[in-house]
Amino acid sequence: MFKIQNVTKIYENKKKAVDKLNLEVENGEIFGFLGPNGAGKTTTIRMMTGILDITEGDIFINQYNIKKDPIEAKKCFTFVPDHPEIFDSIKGIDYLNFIADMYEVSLNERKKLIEKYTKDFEIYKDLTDSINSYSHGMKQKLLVTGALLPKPKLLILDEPLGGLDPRSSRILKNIMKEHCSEGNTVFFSSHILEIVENLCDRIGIIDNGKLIACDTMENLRKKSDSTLEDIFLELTEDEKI
Amino acid sequence: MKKFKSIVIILLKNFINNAKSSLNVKNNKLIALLQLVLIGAIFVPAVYLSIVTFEAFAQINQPELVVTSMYVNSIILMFFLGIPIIVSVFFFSKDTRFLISLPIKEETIIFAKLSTIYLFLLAISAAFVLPSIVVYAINTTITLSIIIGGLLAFILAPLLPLLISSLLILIFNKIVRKSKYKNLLTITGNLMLIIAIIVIQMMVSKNAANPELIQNAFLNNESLIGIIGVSFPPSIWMTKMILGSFINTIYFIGINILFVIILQLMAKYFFKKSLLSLSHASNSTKKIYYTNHSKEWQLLKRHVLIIVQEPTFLLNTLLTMLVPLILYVVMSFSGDLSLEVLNSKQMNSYMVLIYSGIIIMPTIVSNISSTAITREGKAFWQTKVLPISNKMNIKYRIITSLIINFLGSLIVGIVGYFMLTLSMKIIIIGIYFAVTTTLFLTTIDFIINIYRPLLNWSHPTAAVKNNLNVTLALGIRFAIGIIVFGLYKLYPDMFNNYDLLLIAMGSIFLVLYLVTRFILYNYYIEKFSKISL
Repeated sequence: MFKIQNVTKIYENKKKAVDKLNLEVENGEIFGFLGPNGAGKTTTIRMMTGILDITEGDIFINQYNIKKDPIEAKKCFTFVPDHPEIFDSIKGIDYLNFIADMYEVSLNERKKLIEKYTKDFEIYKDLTDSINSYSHGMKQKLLVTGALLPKPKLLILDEPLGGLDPRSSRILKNIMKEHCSEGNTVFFSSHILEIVENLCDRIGIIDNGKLIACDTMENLRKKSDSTLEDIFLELTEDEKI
Repeated sequence: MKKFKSIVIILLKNFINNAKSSLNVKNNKLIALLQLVLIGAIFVPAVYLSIVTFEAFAQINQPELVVTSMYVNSIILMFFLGIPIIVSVFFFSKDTRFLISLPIKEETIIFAKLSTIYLFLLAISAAFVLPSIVVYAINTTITLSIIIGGLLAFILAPLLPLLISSLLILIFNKIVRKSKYKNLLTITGNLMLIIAIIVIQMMVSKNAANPELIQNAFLNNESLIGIIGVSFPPSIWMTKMILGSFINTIYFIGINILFVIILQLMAKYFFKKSLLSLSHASNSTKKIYYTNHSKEWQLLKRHVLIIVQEPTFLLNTLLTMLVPLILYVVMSFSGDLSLEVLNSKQMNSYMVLIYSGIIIMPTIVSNISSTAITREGKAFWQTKVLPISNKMNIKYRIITSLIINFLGSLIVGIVGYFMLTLSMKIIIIGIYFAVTTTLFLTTIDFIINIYRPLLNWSHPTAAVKNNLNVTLALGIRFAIGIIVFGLYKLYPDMFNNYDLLLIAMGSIFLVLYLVTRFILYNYYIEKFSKISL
């Protein structure tokens, strides 16, 4: 579904946030992207989504190079950031109509999907309120709903469960599974190891901008025979030494 | 006391750092230089004003009135500047929730916030009251009463404007908070405030230029300074205190202690209000609608709504659009301008210049294109992940700015059409000049914004006002003005035929627009694509 090839990101202050990263994720996978704070997770996701410029290397989304063919690449994915910073003076329904128009979702389809997801997330009755009256969690739910409207081949989420209550977290996890069962791919970063452990087909661990592990949970366990938390701490500690 | 001091320090640091980051300049030496220039830009005219005012009052043998005059002026200035600062510190501040979670008394937080505002206002007092005292002391005889009285006047000057501004905001907030047209009322209130500032500024400057009028004002209780000076006894007590009157010193200190007590009493009430203002009331209609529009329409709507839905942006835009009208209305009422004068035979040959000047004014004053990216703030990422080209992303930001500028020109153009004696030729030349100039300025302003995107702002004001982009955009207009003036001085014959002059200038701007547009879409598109939070 997407391929990250020798990608490096060096910021203006010369800090190397991502260092020759290589990663490939197949169709139908739920891929969890782990790493300590400042490891380069968000930078990688921002490069994948075209928000951030790539210093070196290439990223292909469904075979489209995000640098050379950004529009085609962007048609293949939608993105939910870690902080729901959106233009919030408009109403929730206006935001969803905006996203649906941008991805050319038909009226019938958007009506069906908006009702389905917003009722699941229990924000349907709030759609006619201004977004700036929403809580952090409600904004997050609105963004997830918007990201699901185009039925993207790749759904990218940066720390998606941060602001959600347990019920909404469960709903989102089910949605992610359902999305993958339809042949689509979900790529998300998280700090909640338990969720990554139970939800993901494969896990990638990044530290100091380098991918230090990438495998299925089973294979990772074979190497260490412990929980993901132990593996994560062990691997990231090794890197520091 | 230690906690109080810590809050004041952190609030001041936060304010200073926000001001620095709003400059979006990474070089610390350049920041220091800009700050020096800014301080100089405030102090130099203030000192000059003190000298001129002193000389004027010295002519009528009342040199001490320089302190009275500057004291009254600075109080008016502090009153108007205090309003946005108080609103910002109490009602738009994001730190209140954090501060109330700390083990500090509510009153301490409020008083620390009020003290921070007091310190901002004290800087204004330092710029206006202090120079007048120094100028007066140097030119007369330096006595102990001048030094002590002067220092007291300087230190206590911000208290009254702080109190009045706070009271007004409380009253206004009480009305606005209950209304469902909150944004509209806020904007109307702000517009009225700005009109009041223009009116008072004009009246004050008119009076300041005429020492005889000032003397009469004090004697006859006429005009603004007269009303404030005589009807506002503290200014008279302060003047007499500097002259050495003990009883007036007591009066002046006493009244200021009273101001502090009232401020303290208001503190708790203020706190509750500011907290209440943090929660947004919902006023929506409960009908969900599904609409289908083109990407182009949605982008345009998004950029228009970013302006319309944010009171600060809307007010800024409305003001820039309507500045010629506001100025005209104020100047008409003040008697400085009349339709008879504008439509007189002597002005006939200048009519094409007047009309072109009026309809281009919204673009000249406005700088909305220089903040077209900035206004989006941290939500900028959103259009970057959408399946649209960078060219399309840029195009609809510029079109939004053009629509707003042209709308402003259209409104003042229509009003001008009904007020002035215009021929079809004048209208066509004016429109041609306005359209080409607007196209050029809007495009070049947008390039400034690509250079300096400034997306991490803490308050909408920082996005559209306290922003170096705006200064740079106005700098371009100033440079054009200097070039035109230079050409007029060098080749006055070129300026004989105004029709031809405007057509030629319009054509130059058209060429400049085409060149700038080419550069934007061929060279700056790459830079735009690299903008990130």
